[in-house]
Amino acid sequence: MIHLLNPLALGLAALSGLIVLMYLLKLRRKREVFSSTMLWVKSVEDLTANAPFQRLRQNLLMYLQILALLLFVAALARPTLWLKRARGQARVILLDNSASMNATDGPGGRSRLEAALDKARELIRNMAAGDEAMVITLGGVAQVVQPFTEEPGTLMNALGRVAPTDAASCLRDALTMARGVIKGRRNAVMTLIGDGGGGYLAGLLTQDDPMEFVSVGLGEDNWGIVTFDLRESFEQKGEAQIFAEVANFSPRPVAALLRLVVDGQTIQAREETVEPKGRKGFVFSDLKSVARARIRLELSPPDQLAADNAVEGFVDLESRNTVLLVSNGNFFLERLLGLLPDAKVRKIAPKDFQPGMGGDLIIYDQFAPPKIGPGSHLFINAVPPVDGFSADPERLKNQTVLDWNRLHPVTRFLSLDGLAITETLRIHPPDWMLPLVESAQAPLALVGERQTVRLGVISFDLYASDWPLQVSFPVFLTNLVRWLAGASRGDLSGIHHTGDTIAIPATGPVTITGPDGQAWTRQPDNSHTAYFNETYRVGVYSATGAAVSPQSPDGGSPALAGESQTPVGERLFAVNLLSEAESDITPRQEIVSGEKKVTASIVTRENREVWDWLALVALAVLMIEWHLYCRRAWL
Amino acid sequence: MANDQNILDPKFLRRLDRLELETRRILGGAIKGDRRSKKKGVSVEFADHRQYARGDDLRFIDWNIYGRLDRLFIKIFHEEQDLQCHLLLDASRSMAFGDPAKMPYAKRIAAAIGYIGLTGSDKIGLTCFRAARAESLAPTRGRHNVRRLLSLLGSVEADGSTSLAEATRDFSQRVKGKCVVVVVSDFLDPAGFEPALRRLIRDTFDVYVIHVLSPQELDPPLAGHVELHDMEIDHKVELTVTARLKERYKKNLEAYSQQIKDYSSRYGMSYTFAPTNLPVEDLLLKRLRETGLVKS
Repeated sequence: MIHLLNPLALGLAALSGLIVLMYLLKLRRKREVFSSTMLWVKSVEDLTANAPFQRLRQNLLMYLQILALLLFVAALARPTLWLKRARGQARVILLDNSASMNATDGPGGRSRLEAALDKARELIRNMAAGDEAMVITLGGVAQVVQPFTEEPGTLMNALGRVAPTDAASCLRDALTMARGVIKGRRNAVMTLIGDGGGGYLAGLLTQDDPMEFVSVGLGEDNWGIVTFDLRESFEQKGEAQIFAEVANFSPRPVAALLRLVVDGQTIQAREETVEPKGRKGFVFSDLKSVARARIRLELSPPDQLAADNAVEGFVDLESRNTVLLVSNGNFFLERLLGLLPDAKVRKIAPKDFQPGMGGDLIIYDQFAPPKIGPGSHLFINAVPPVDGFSADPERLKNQTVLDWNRLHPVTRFLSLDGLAITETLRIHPPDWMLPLVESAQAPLALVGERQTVRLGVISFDLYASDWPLQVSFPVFLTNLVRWLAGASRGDLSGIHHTGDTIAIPATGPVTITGPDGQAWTRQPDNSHTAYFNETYRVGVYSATGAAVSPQSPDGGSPALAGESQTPVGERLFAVNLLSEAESDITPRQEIVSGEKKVTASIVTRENREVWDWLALVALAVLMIEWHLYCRRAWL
Repeated sequence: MANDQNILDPKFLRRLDRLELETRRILGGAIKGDRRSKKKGVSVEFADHRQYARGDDLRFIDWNIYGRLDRLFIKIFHEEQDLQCHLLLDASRSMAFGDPAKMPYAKRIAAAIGYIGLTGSDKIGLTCFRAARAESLAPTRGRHNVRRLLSLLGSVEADGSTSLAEATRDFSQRVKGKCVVVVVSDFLDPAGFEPALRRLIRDTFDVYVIHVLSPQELDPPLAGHVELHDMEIDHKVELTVTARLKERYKKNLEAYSQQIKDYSSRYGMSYTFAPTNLPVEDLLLKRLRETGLVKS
């Protein structure tokens, strides 16, 4: 299979028409009558072929013909300009197609992604025989668009499949992939093509990474909504309160006008001047009528990046998590659960607990039933009746927190330094449980999912620690309740970021339609949850299909246990950018990561075959020779 | 008659009156003329004595010798005979080339020689030859035939292709006697000049070759890309005339002329080069006089 490194060169074939045209042009000769052509013919013959050899004369045409011949021969030899490197290079093209790459700061409104694709194509055109390359995109999730290949045409086709996203870049995963594929390859290089924004190299690069950086992007005129929160007012139950923050990344002040649109109607607007590189908070309150609505915040004036100029969300203050607390009494727990705005708590004593009771979450305080059904369960100072769990009969004394998971949604942004526990169970969890908080000897808090069960475990009595008195406790418990209860309710009511995975409770296929009309179909797993992770563009997505309606705890039936399939109609969820790193579109000319500093380089034509240029020059020489021949006939 | 007047003007005729044809060989004519013949006969120039024989004319007895020797001797004189001159004039189309054109120039040469001959009691014949057709004037004598000669010359047009060899072959077959042959031609015959002149190599012929060329042939005013058409034959050649090519042409023309000259010399012919920008008077009074064709 023949691939053309430069298919555009086929267009040069049109020059043959020019040659034919020149040959069609007949030399205009003056008609002359002479007494006899006898001596003229003889004279011409004398000058041309009266001897097999003649003394070599200075003849410009001869030199031109020799030059043309040499050029053609050189072209046939396929010379290649080797500017930098040896043959057989393996290049991983890390193509940033994150949100900031949609900035239209190029000439004629071209986006950065288009410019990056052009740079990537130039790199591919520069490939010499024996070179290979692969393409990984960074938007939302690191994705191998094209594995290593030596075929430029295949790589070009792969670039054609790269679509823009409004997601944050995830270079960490891409770097991990790239390091894996170049391992053991000699003469490998990773080429990051992007705007360098988002600080996505912070702490990622090592000195051994053969990283090149090709910078794209020209402008920095962007301001966007970087924070958006929608909650029920603490002062006024059933009333929504909206907080938004606008950041100005441009070098000039911006009069930011933020409009609140509820169910398609603008009900409030605020205008504030945001200083260069500054930010300004906006609060929309007194939204009495807004208890269940579609909310949209729109920022103007327009700028070079549109994805962060609007956020959307859905207010549903009427829907709350239902929590069943099985406890003999726990002041701290009851007090805190009662303060959760989005939770409706019911408490029963352990002796009154019946199998089959449930809600979005069941909390067992120092109590464990013989068995549990599907759903979310939190055990406090108790061993879950689940296979794989066991605990030592002896309790551990005087434990302190050694470490905690800083990435998990439940424990991120927490500081558990100084937490002291006087006594705790020494639980031996199954493999699928993830320790969130650990002492030197045992896990103190764990979460896990298996099939239709989502579990949380706190291995000590809250009274046996000073945790309820610390700031981290209400945050931890709020996060934990939301994480556990959210599993049963699905994520449809939340505010999502681009790239998030959305869990949709469903008993049958779910069709998700994106803001641009693209549709996906997802099948639910054994936990009756369909997961959708193609949230790469901002906007409102709709999910349709047969789904499980969350049951109220009052109904007595366990959540997620029902088999009734009810049509969901159209359930909407919003995906927003809300990424300060992506909104800051200031292009970087160098990226620094620890000791590693990579300066932007220019994609130059390296290792380029030049036979086409040689052929072109040879053609020009031939045309000059033809012209001279017609003019002077150097006989 | 207009043509006659164009060919020779009165002033030139007056100068021609002082000339007469001459030959380097002693040639016999049909009648007694002005030139010494190899024949012994009646003239004023004494040749020899011989003994009287019966029947001799008594008027030629040298009575002085008879007085001294008492023997009869007859005085023998060189018999002076007339000169027969035949003009072979090339009338092919190529003779119309040039400025001045070769044809009128050649006509004037022929007319002048013919006039000299006819006014000097010589017999003058004329053949205007070209391929497949010839116009001729049978050898004739007498001043009164000048008009006929000029009339014929005036009516001849350059036309057709050259057939030099054919013309000389016809001539040599037709003319058996002794005569002066004057060939006026540009000799631009693709068949070459040698087959033609070879026919004229004969003891009885005193051949004068007059090679007529125009200045445009000697130094062609051609340059650049030309499509050169032959005047006589259907032939054209596409040329890009450069200085080198012109130089080569001139050398070839010079060599061609030299070949004619060398060939003529080798076989006792007289060669005269006659560019048409040379006045006919100068040609006759200088160059042809040097060759011995005319004398004053």
